[in-house]
Amino acid sequence: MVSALPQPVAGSHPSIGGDVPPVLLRRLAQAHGLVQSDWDIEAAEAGGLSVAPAILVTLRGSSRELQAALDLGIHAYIELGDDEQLPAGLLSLVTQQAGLHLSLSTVTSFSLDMAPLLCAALVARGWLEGRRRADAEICVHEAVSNAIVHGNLDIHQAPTADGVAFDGFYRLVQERLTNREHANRRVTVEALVQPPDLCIRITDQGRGHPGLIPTEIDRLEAKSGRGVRIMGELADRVSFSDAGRTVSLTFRR
Amino acid sequence: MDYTVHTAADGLRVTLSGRMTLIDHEKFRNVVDAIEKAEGTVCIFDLTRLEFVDSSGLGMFLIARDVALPKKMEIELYGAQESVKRILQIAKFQTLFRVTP
Repeated sequence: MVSALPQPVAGSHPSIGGDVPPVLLRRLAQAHGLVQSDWDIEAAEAGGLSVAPAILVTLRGSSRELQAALDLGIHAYIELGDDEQLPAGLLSLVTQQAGLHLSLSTVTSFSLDMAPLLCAALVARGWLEGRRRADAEICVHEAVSNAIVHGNLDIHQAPTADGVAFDGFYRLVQERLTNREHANRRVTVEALVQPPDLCIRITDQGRGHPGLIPTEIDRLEAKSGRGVRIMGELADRVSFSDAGRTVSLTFRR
Repeated sequence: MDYTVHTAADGLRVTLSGRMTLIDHEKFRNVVDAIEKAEGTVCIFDLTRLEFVDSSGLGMFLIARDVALPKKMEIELYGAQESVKRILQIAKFQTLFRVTP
């Protein structure tokens, strides 16, 4: 499917496009030496785009736009924050053919189911074997959930006890999502082919944690605390860095 | 996630479909309320159309179990697809629920 679609312009002068004010797109292109590229989601979905931007920027990410962008083979999908800047280190990644960078606000990451879209794209690009897709999807999903809840929303107590504790935990998640400071923090997902492996890194902007991988679940009846355990079981390697703010998942190709 | 709840002679039949994640917590609360009000000895969750469950979804099954156990109602997780079954196995749910087949 992907090979028949327009390919993004990579190389030393990647292209940038997006449904954002033209003056903003022009400023970003000039600041980073990027080539401006057209983007229209209806045209993209209808197969009417001759060239897809390598970097797609948006003011509010959506499943529909992310899906269309990934189908077109983009290298980066960036939901711009209040500073309207591209993430540091992005350009070095998009000049590599086998790299993908997603950067979304916490509130968008919570509402948008990123993992299945990402993993479908990784399989379509030949970076992930189809038989590992389900493993990668649950691992990315758990890592993104942890980045949102325990990282950016700064919720460290786990609702292990009972349904009442779980209700309280869910209310706190909803409350923090309406707090601008928490909601605007970034969740960044980078996928990099590092032969023979695919490495997927998920990074948050929280205060970090010890990054321990439990070998056993403490209490089988506990209502939470299984995410990292699931990752450890299904990924070929799991490691933490940046004081626990980044989790790296490795899948052998 | 979508769900349906039906009363049967021996308890409840709950059918789940789609993706079961943290975002479904409030929906699943309705299922838990139905278990709380139900009579009978068994609540069967039909998982044949459930495509995905995450660690929060596992927690929700455990909340349902907490409500069912004092009523002497057993919870059965029936027909999980392979990817869902793997997650149930990692969580050792076969020691807490009747998992069939």
